[in-house]
Amino acid sequence: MLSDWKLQEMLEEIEEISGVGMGICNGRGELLAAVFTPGEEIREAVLQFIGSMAESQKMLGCHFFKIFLDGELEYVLLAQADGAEAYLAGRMAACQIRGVAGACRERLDEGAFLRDALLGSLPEADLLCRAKRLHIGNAQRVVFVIEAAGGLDEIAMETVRMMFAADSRDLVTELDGTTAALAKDVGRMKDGRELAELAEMIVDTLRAEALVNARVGYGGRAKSLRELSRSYEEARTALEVGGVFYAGRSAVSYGELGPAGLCEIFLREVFGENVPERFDEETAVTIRTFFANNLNISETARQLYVHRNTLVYRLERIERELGLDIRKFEDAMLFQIAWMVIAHLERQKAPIRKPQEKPI
Amino acid sequence: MASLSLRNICKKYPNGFEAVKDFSLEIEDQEFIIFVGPSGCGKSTTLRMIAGLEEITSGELAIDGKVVNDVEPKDRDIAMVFQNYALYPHMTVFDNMAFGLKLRKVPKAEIKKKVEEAAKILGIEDLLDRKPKALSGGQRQRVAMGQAIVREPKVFLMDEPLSNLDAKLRVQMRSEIASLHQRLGATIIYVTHDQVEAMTLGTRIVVLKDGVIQQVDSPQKLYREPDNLFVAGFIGSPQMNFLDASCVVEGGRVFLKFAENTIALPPEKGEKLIAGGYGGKTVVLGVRPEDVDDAPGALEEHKEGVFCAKVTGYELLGSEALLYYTVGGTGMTAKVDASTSARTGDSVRLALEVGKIHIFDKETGLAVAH
Repeated sequence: MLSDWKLQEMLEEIEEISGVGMGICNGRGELLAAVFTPGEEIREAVLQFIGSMAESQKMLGCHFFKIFLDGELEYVLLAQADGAEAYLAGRMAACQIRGVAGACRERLDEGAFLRDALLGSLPEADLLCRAKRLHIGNAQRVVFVIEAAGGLDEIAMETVRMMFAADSRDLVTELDGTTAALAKDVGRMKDGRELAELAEMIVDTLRAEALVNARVGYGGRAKSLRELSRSYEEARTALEVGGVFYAGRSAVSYGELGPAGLCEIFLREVFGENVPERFDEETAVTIRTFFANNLNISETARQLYVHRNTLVYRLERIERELGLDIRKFEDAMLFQIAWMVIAHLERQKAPIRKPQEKPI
Repeated sequence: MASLSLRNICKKYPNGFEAVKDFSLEIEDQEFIIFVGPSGCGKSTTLRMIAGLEEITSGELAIDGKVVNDVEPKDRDIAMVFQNYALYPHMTVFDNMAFGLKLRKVPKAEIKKKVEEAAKILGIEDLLDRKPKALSGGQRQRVAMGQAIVREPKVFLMDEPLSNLDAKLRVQMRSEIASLHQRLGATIIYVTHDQVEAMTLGTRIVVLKDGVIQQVDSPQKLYREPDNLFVAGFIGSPQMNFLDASCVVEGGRVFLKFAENTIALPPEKGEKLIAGGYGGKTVVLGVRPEDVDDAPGALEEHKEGVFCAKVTGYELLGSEALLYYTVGGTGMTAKVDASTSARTGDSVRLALEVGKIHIFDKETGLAVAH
């Protein structure tokens, strides 16, 4: 529904135009916003008015107006002053608020539609039918899941909505008290870096504006409304897995968590920042022969036609470079796996490998 | 405005990673303090802990003497400015600055007053009716600052707010932030990885590495008297030159020998080395590029610091030139006058100003003498 601050803003503007102070209550008689300070007895009067058949009434020096949406009572508007002008201003204000609240309800419908689309709970025909009714067209979208451990309050949700209010193809919905989802039109964002920047921007804006520490996960591109649920699942996975592997990061993409991303995490764990790309011929042959001889130094030295001390020197040099002492079984095993991973990544980058470029 | 007290603050993530270790610092009211260090050193994490956006694993944080570890961010009276700020594209500058206050139900007249005051401070009164797309990068950054200023917080927390601007604009915004600090009289904590930004803005700088404070000092003192090799290397551009040297004590005087060269240390530095028991040991000699010169006058004036080197590179900067050279295989840099005749491949004599050299313990990396 309309937020209290939005109602307050409208009442202030109406007062500026008409000079009539106004207040607005919900269907339970609770005051939501006002530009004057009503007396304590006003709630009782509002409840009495709600219970009556009248659509407008004059009580306690105010005109009371009922505002209905789809046949149900939504608000009670109070116009302070009892003249004919106040009545006119009150009726016009009630009309204005009904229009805005109606538009807002449509947006709520959009939110409900997005939730259903993300959860994949609608048959395709229903999904398309509802999208058509809400004027939601097909676009290339990416789902961003925004999560705040401490909860996303009204300020945080409104901040996210306002960030993307300018583009009608962007859809925002609250999923539960701590999570929101954004289906962002990314048709003009060709680069993955732009998506990462957008995720960072959401995090930083929520921190600065709403003082909420949020984390954002985002999925792959969805070319149709039907694919939104897949992008959403990916975004959730990015949040969960990213929380384990990238504890210090606030924005994580599902793309980073694919096999390649996980391989790179593993290589950084093993080698730190200096992941070796390839070795010179001598080092490569030394390592290969050493492994082929089950880490036996004497036998390896004999097969390589080098002195034992030369081999030890070479292995020590490898240890200095890699931080792994492959004379030890554990390090040797780790190195072997890491090297297989490097070879796999190389193959991914260049599917057609020249015959002479053999991995160790 | 406010003072802050951080006592033994630690941050450990569930996966065991320790982002901040035993961070203790007192920040005075109206101070402009900078957290600087390489990526992943814990500076932003510390800032977020101060804001309440990140839970403090252990330690105590007090604002104006009141412990706020368990106080919600919105109740800490702070405002933050980040590098990836978003302005609401469909709103005017006025509405962008007012939006946070509107959400907090601040009366309209008060919002108007605060926004106009902030706009005046930032010099953007003429832009209040414009939409973000009609603003330049610097103007947008000012609006983002305005969003924080209108809240009139006790403490401003800024996390690399200039990182997204181009180099020219950064320099301009740097001086604007400095004058903003003067005008607001605010306590500002500013995070950056850029040591030039740190040196030009801060009244005090906190240098961090791997979540540990390396040194807290004024910019001048950090530059002149770095506590360890990391600070010495991090502060200053081009960075300080480091060279292993043997410490030799002869006839009560102390000499440093490196490659084929020997330099005599001034008595006050020599005494510190003798007192520390460094005679006969290897130490690390540190010298800033601007304290090495090839001008005839300098060679004459600093005879005790003259050494030979091979020039491997030459870069003209305008009024100065950078000479890259090697001494005993170690690459070093000298910032010399642009009129130098030295060029790549030349063997040259250089003089280092021995009064300005720094000596560090090779094992611990800690400073022995400045």
